[in-house]
Amino acid sequence: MNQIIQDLKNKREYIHALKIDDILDYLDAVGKSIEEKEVKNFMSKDNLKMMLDLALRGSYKILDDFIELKDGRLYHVQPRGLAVHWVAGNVKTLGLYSLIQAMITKNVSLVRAPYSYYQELKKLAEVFERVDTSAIKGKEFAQTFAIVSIDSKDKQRNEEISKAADIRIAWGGKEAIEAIMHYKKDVFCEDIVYGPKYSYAIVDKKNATIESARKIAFDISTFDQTACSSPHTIFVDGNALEFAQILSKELDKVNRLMIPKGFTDPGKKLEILTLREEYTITGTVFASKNTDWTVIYSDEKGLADPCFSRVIFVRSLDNLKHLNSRHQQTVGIAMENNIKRTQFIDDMTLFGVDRCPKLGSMTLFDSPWDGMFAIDRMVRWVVTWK
Amino acid sequence: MDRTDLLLEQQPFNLEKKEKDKYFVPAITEAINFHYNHSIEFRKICDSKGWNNTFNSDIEKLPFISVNLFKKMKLISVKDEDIVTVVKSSATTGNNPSMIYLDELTRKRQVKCLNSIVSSFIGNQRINLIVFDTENTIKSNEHSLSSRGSAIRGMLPFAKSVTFILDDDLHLKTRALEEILIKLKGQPVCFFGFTWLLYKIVKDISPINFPESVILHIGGWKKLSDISVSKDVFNKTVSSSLASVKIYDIYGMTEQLGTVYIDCEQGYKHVPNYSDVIMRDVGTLESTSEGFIQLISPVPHSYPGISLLTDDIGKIIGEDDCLCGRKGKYFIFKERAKNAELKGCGDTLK
Repeated sequence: MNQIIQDLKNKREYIHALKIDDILDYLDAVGKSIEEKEVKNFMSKDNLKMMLDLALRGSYKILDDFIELKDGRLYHVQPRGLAVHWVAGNVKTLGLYSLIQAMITKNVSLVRAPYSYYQELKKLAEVFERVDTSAIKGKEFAQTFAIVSIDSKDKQRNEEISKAADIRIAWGGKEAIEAIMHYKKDVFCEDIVYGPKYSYAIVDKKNATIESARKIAFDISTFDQTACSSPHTIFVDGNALEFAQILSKELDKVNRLMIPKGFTDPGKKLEILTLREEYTITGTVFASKNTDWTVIYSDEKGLADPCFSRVIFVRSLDNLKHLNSRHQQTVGIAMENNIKRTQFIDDMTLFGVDRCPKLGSMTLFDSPWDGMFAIDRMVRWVVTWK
Repeated sequence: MDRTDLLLEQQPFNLEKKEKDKYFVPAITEAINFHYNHSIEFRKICDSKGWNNTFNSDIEKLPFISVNLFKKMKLISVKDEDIVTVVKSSATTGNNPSMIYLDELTRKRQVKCLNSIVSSFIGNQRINLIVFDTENTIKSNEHSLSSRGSAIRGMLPFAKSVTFILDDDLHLKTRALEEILIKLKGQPVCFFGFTWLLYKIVKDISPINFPESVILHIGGWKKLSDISVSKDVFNKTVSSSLASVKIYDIYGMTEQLGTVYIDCEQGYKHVPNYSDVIMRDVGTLESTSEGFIQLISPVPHSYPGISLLTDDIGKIIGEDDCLCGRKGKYFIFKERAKNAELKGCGDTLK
């Protein structure tokens, strides 16, 4: 492990010397070789440039040059160094996004993947090796990151990479995040924590339509609700029971035609069956014949305890302000009237919730995420005078 | 005499399927009609599964309820004042225990069932019972009893003498064990306990030489499989420490007490005439030879636990033709259904 870490640190000067436009061109080319449309779009030069501009005070060139900002002084950003990423197994692309952000801020990266995801990531790394641009040779650029498989119970190795990190990026559930945060680290190490979070959606009367239901069905089915941005409860201003039925039809369509449900543990299936029986008694259940998807309507208030695995709770809209804390992340919103909507969002997000995207794009990674511009956290700001 | 009581008059393992159906089908038909008409919750679940309350003797079509539903809500089919005992499960799969509400009729039926099944394995003679538990386990607390307590109580009718050899912290009372072994020297003994607890104690004690003794254990394998103790390891450890010729692994659950499934000499669990077992495919939930174990029994009267989908996975090995000579279905328990921990960045509300 020491050798891997040292090899990565040795590539810091190489990646620092690259022009940001060259890195963006290269990543754009790599993205074009990747099948997933989402990843392709994310890695496009336009998208990454926009993300950098948004996070770095309006100028992505600040990664290469000293640039004058409003006060007349010259600003420049330096990479922090070694970014260590602990990525979550079930939300694979999200871990990739943090790696790309580290690359465009000229950091070197060590990605710790769970064993189940390790092989896939290794294949992805090979794509980086195969792509060359006029300024960047893939084989050399691929040496700026390494992927390792370390068991989550291997405290010694996890702590070893934690201590070497200049940035720690942690994706995962509560248990995983707490374990990572307990590993020793350098005092100047920057922590970027993604998860554990809970997300939900809101639909007003006018938007309680088939189209909204279809979009929510996508948000639910993508990642089978294991992402922090996946909805678990839908609040409907209007006839929630009717919307639950509409949603059930759309979940069925998405499952049959677009995103078929993958493997579900037998234990999870029983949990779903039990939940369905419970709400058959206390509410109304719309469900697939097997355990692929379940829509549960009840007159309960507040956020439902998530079951995951395409189980969605539909409830009537109530006062949500005090439901929110830093544990809530994304609220998908389908609401007319812009002024009312922004007022509503301002009010609702006072104590928590960081993203309020349109329905259908809840799980699309963007920046800021979890209330922060990660790119800004991955750099050090250097200032001097003219 | 109702049809369930008529069924319970039969021997446990003497009827081939056709003969068994003559008693079992009318009993389960009577039971499902009773619960459908006396439990709103059960009726709602049956209705949601398309059950039209006409049973045509096809056991596979019987609606089931998940065993974990008893952890979530109170399910009863009689008046509250008829309840005499509440049995709580050990809650190995979740935070809440199952709560099973028993009336006098259900309790009597359970005792009768258990007596018939257990005595067909260990004989009718009363035995010296050495219990690997504390006596406090069988004391009820305001009419509430743990599943361990209930299982031990179920064994008491077979006992000539009973000795509890654990203290309240579940540590071995070495002196009590030594004394009882001296007292019972030369006599057959039955060691009884919950599987995990028996193993925990027995693995650390010096071998006890008690020929002709038997070991009965109940309570499932979850805690032991969590620490990678297989049935083979268990059997070797326990039989070498207690020098017993026969070890009987009893499969059963709090939610359907009385009807237990005991390993025969061939290593298979036998379905008595008082119940039926179906395996449901873990994907489609259709009846098959291997899958979730569904337990069907007309014994429960005070609660609608007559058809339960368990979180155990098993396999039917055969019917009416086991080499041990017992009639009826026989099966093996394979494992507790796994629910992998959440690996994503999604959060629960807990």
